[in-house]
Amino acid sequence: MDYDKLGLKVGLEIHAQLDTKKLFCSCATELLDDQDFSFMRRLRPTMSELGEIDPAAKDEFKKGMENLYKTSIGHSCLVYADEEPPHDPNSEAVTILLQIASMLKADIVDKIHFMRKVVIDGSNVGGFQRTALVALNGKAFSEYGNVLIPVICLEEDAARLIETSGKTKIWNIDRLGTPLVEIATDPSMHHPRQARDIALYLGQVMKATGRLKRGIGTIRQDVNVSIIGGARVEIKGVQELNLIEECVINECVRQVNLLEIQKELKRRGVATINENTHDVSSVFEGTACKIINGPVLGIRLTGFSGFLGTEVQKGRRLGTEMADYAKKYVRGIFHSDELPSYGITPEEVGLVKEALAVGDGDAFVLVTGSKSICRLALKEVIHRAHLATEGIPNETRRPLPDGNSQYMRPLPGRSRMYPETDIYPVVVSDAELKLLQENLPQLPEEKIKRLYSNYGITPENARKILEWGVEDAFVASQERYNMAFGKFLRLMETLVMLSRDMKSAAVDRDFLLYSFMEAHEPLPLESYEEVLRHMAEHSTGARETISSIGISRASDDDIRKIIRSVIKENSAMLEGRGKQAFKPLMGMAMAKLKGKCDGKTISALLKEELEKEH
Amino acid sequence: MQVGDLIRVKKGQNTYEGILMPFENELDDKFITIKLENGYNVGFKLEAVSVKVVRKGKPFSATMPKVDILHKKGLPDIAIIGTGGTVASKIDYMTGAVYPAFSPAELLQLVPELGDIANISGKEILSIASEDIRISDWKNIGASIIDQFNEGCKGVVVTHGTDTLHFTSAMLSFMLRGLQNPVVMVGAQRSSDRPSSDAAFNLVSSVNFSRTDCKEVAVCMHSSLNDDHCLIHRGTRVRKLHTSRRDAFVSVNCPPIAKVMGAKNIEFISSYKNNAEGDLYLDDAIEEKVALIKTYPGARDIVAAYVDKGYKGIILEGTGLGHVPMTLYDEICRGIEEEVVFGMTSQCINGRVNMNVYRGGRMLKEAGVIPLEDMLPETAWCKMCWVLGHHSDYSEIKEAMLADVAGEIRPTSRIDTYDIGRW
Ligand SMILES: [Zn+2]
Repeated sequence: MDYDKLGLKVGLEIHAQLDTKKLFCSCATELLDDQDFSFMRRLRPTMSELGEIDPAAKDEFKKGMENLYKTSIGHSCLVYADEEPPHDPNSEAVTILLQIASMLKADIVDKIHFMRKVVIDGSNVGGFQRTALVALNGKAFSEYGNVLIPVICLEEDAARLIETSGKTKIWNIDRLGTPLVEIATDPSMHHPRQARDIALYLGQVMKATGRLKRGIGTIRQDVNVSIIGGARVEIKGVQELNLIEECVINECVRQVNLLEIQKELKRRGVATINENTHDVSSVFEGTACKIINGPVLGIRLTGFSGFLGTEVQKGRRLGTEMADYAKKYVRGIFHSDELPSYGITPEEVGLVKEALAVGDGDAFVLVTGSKSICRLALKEVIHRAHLATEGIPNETRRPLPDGNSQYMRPLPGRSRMYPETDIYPVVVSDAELKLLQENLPQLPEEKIKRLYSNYGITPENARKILEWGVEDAFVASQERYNMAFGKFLRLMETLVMLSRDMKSAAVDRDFLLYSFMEAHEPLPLESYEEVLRHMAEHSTGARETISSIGISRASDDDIRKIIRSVIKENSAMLEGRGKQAFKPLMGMAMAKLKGKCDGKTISALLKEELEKEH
Repeated sequence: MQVGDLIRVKKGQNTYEGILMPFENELDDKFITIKLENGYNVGFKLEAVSVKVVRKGKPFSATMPKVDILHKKGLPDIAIIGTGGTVASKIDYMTGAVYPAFSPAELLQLVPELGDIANISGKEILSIASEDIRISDWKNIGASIIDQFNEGCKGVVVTHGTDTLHFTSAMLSFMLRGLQNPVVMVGAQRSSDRPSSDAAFNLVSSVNFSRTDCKEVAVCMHSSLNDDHCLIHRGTRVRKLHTSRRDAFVSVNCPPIAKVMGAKNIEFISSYKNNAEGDLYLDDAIEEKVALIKTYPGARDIVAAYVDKGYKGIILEGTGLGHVPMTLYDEICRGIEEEVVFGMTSQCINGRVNMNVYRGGRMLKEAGVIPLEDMLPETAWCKMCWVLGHHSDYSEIKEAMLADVAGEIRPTSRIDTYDIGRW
């Protein structure tokens, strides 16, 4: 894809949890599933000076939604139950933000004002998230071009939704108030690769402070994507760095395809969507389709024939997107481009077409459930069909594990923000800032330079080490364990492969790394995977593992003996093929010495022995 | 350059545009705060920036769309009187300033449930910080309440800052004679500009209770950390016992009157006054020279200071059963000689004073200090102000202080009313 021609624009918003106490009290920020205290709240929309009340908030309140907040006594105090005013802002968190802002060469404000951002979904007990802009106009660097960072903020993380049952949302407030650094770039990135590199760079800057929380969900990335003629789509909460590039690529594909559909619909003259829903339940009396057991309602989508089955992303069709909208009410939809199927017969399809007056160029959608639910679901389908005629809807989408995404909700409007009057603004002292800036953690580029100039490795390998986040271990491998770089590289590649393979957060990388380096000396490269896998599976140290699975490096003499025996057994072949016998002999020696010795040594010794034969 | 103007701030290489925000205080003029287009406020050191006005701003105004309110037949007329402390408010999202909302239209928009239970009228008569309330304000509030009843209201709700809410409720309990209908005082512990505020629920509950046949001054506040029901406390028996929690108000030495589930049902817990005595009037004869003094070990001079200033009455908040250190004994005796009336309450808050058990107590009682039984110190202070407005003879004063006027004093101590800090 030619991204320049598409006019791709990508922006990133990264949130990372700080490993400190909470932002406005001194409670711990560790997650805790034990709960022995709860309280119930209803959030009520507030009114602006113009007498305006947010309709979404009003709607939520009218529905009678209740929030049950759970916590553990001793883990959460009154502040985050909104029963006590916030304490002074966590000065540690402010300092970390100043560090990050300085590393990004941003313009730090002289006085930090905390604001309340109204959030009425219950995720914040008070009904707002506190947030402060700490610095403006930072810069991030990548090979594809640099990016401006208009805002760097310090904010509070939200409570964790445990479950929704009926009108009650149940939350755990352990995470609420955890300080978050928020870094937003301007939407100027023009290549998926650039988005990935910038995210990586920002991640490294933040991590350089040594004060980020680690583990799943501690860093969340929102990716904004648009192309010419498209719309801004936000993919919210991408947790893995590797997925960012794919997400952007897949979203480009999606927008290109949706624009194509729009063009074709226009060509076919489809401008309005028929909004008449019909009860076609009678068609399905005694149907073989197991999904249907109740009323079935349908609509005709005039001029949509073929589009519902058109892929917009790999494995996802326009029909899938309609189903995502309808999912607010039903589990899925049936559409004409996929029927007959699911036990629905061609005869039934024919009858539906008749009932809905579906012509050749038309499509139809069916849903099943109670009649009122069906009507609501079809309304969503109609809405999405209408949006298809307009092009690309402004949406917030949820990332899927394969790099695709799924509709979550319409893109929210600008949030309502007003000053947090309970907190006195923080004045950034010049002296403190100067001291902090003189002692900044090293930036990624500086670290890369230091690694390759000090240890004689290539810049690419230095970058790899940084990406893996194992600078300390690498330095130890060089200075403490005298490990050849090739071996360290193999060790890390094996670990990366294992952690993907075993999909287990329980693989304690640092333990495996250091324990392995300590005992690596006699091990051939070929045995790394076996040893490390065994260590990870059994949580045992390297020495113990090596002795328990019986891997040891054969002595050069032993190897020589085995090689000689191989030569002897194959003296006939040697006679016949001369130097060409090396390859088959090497293969046989490797097989005999598997796991006891590396190939390089075998090859060297075999060469020596063959020389002697001549 | 004025607050509200769009200004351009140049700081080094960078230029920022935003709306000029108010300065926080006089001392703060070293910084300039602007609201950026993205909604954030940021502050810059004035000496480090150059500032230019881009566009003059419009003055902030708090206007309301006009809404016609229908008078619903079958629903009682309830008046809401505002005295400060915003139980319902609008936020200026620009400055963060909070304006009280008192027109019926605003109240109904913010708290729509009110429209289902009453025809609401609203009036703000005072706008002061709770701690600054004065005796003249209480007279004013009392008169307004009478006016509302005279205009035919079925009940009156008074919104009030929480710090001194229990002083006002006690004072009104004495001043409002011959109540025919409820007067319900209500406040909010968490500001009404936050979606999690207790204000609206408290207001709904208080309006709901103001429709009952209770003929007392009551206080309506959250019962727990949950937004599920409020408690109705007797005006003379309630005290703020927590600085910030929404269930800070607690009935002391007696159970609350009722439980109110918002706009829904009301569950009575204990007996209340439902028979009227005579006609409604405001009895606001008040003696202002009354002090409330908390004693402490080794205390000196604190009684003499008031005696020398010509105070007529002093409520002592003694220790335990009603004791003061001997260091104050002579000062109290001199006060009594100079015809100052002393009443004894306890800083234990819960329980009844008894000045017979220890020698110190007996000496003070013999000297003429009146033990005020199970009366709260703040209530006793209000009552002394009111009683001294009517009597000057010591024995009349003593009799009046010990007579039950508004449920503030009882001869028996209930066995079940102290459950603070139980584990
Ligand atoms: Zn806390």
